Amino acid sequence: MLARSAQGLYWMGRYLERAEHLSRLMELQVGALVDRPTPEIMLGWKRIYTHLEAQPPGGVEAGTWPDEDYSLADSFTLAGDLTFETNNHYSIKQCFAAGRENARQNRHCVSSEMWTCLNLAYLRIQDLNIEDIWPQAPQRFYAETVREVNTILGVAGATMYRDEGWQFLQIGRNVEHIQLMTSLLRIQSADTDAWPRDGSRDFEWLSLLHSYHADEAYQHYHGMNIRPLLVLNMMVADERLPTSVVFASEQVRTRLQELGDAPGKSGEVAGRFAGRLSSLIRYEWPDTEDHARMLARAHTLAFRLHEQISEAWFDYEIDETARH
Amino acid sequence: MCGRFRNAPINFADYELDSDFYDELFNTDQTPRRSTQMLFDELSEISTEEMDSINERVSRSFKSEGISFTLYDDGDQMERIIPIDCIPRVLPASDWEQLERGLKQRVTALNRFLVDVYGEGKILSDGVIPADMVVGCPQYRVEMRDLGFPLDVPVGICGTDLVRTHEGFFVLEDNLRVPSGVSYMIANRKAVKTNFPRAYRRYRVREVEHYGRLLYETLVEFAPRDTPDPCIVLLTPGVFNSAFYEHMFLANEIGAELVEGRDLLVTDGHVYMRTTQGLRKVDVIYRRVDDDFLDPLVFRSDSILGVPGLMHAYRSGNVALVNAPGTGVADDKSNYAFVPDIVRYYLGEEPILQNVETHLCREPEALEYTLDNLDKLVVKTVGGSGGYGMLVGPKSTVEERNEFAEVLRANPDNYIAQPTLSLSRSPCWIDRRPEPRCVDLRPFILSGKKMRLVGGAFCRVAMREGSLVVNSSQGGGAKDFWVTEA
Repeated sequence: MLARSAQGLYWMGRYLERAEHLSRLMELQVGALVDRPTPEIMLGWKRIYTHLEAQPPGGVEAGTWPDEDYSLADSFTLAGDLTFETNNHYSIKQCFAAGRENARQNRHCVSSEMWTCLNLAYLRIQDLNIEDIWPQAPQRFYAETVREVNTILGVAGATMYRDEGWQFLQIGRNVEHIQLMTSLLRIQSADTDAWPRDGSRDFEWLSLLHSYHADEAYQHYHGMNIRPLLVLNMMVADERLPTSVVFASEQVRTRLQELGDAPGKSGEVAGRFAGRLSSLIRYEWPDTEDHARMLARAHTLAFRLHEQISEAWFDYEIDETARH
Repeated sequence: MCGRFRNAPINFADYELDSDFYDELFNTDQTPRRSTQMLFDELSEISTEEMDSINERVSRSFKSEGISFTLYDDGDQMERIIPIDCIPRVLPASDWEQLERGLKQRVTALNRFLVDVYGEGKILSDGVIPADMVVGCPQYRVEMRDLGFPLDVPVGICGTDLVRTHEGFFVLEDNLRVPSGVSYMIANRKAVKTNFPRAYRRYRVREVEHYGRLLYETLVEFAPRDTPDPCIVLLTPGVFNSAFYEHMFLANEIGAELVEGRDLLVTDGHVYMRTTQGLRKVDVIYRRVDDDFLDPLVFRSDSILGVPGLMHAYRSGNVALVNAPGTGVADDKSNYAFVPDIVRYYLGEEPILQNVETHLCREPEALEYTLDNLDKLVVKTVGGSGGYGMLVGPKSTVEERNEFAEVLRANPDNYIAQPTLSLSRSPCWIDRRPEPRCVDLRPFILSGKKMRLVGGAFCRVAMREGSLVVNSSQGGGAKDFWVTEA
């Protein structure tokens, strides 16, 4: 397929994943506004911005937030910024716009059912702003947005031909998932080290499990007791959990293998990076004690993997390329 | 109970006929035409509420499927859904077949004309058309001289604009460069036909949905090498082009990659596209990029939409461009006036389709006539399109006419004038009632080793009351057009 179309589908996958991921976190965060103390709410916002490597409105640098209290009015501003601000490339609205634009430019590569689904979701969010969702249970909006992304991807799964376009869509989604999850888990596990040992903050891990559809599986296999390390292990290294890091890295590795040779030299390198990422989690993660460092390594590998995929399939050098 | 619903049926009593305009649905005595009776009967059984609902359903389907065009306003890009009216326009097959014969005749002659003026130039040396007008036309590409054309067919895809008056159908213009609108023809059909199932079935309406297959068959015939599966691509200027939706739609219909200039490169005299499997040789380019931007090494050097070296590959016979560069000289509005002569010259036949009376302002008498009658005429730039740069005399103010007269005197070669035609009107569902609106018709004629047409056309509608401008860029809309066997 056309390299630019493949790139468009890859990025469509990334933007949809980003929209879903942020919607999940926002659902948790606005839920916390109801009954959590202000410092925890502030910490939640800080975690979201830091793991996105983004700055909140007002120009406070990520990672250097002052410890003053944040009122609910500030939460309104931050939620608006993360959800509807079109100048932010990471906002949910902008992710939908970018994902939809990639689909629009490559409509001949996606199924019409998927396109219609994505277009309707885009049109819905285009017409909204924070004032529309805030007064009436904003959690519902985020939950609905997660469902919409799930529906789009479900429709794609049911209707898209399993060609290269499908592979690149899946690769994009999973690379984005790895990057976002490793970043989020790294920050959350670093935070956990500073938490009191009385278990009073363990609900945050439970919320994360719930948000990624892993709470029922956790309770089934590990019981009702929330143990942060077990949760972390599950979110990172449980191959049966479709939202785990290892599951996503295996997906990327398998998809790259199915794609076969790339026109650019980086194709083999990309395959090696994907393998290394899987190995890191499968074979080194169980023995590590420095989880934050290991997650940082995985995050870096995922970024390098993205670069190699781009060089191998999208922006390859012409001189080295076979003609047919 | 009346008809399908208990609510009152739609009321045509207030539908105003104007004797200046041919009405597509009604005779002058407000009775339905014989050919439209079945449609009228079905409409008469539908309630106002149901028509509202149909109209909304049709518009919503366009919105959800993103059937759009791009508008520019003060530099801002806006994606707009084309307004669609749900009441179809009907034409009996016998009338259509006459049009079809006329269209094939006209396009055949225009292709012969192009081959001639870029080759021997016999029509020019025989004095049928002023040579200076043809070779001096900005759309005449000297780079195409003596190159020849694959299949001797420079125009593979033509969209001819037809209008109807009490005197019959007239050709308003031939679009021989990158005609657009065919995607809306198909989208209109998909959206509308299920809403009038009884009339659609009983009329035995001709299909249009197979246009993509006919287009593919045509493009394959242009392939320069003998291969059962030539590589065809559709070259688009990109997502900012007003017709981008159509480019995407057609690429999908013909199973071609939708490429931009940056996706293609020329090496060793061949065109390649950059794929995920490496470089793939391209055989046929259905180009939707204007001549000026096709190849910065030959045409405009500042073009970033084209492909450097593309014309070299074309000259080498390694790639076909459909339509070929330089076809615009034949749809220039000055040349339009000579098309009946062109038909007679090459085919030895009388033109089947009528031209609108046209005054070439380059001729002093015509200029004088035009200046004296600006309030009655439509004055157009010879190379213009999209309804831009024209004066519609009867709709203009004195100041506008005075201003336009200055421009006209300064550069008369650039203008033609035509009488203001009363375009036929067709009922549209507006503000909960049927109202007459002016319409035109753009059939698409495909030419390769043979000519192909679907039984249908893109029907454009001037949605504003009293307007004659049907262009989507200026508030025009669309409606489905049925060629009926019964």
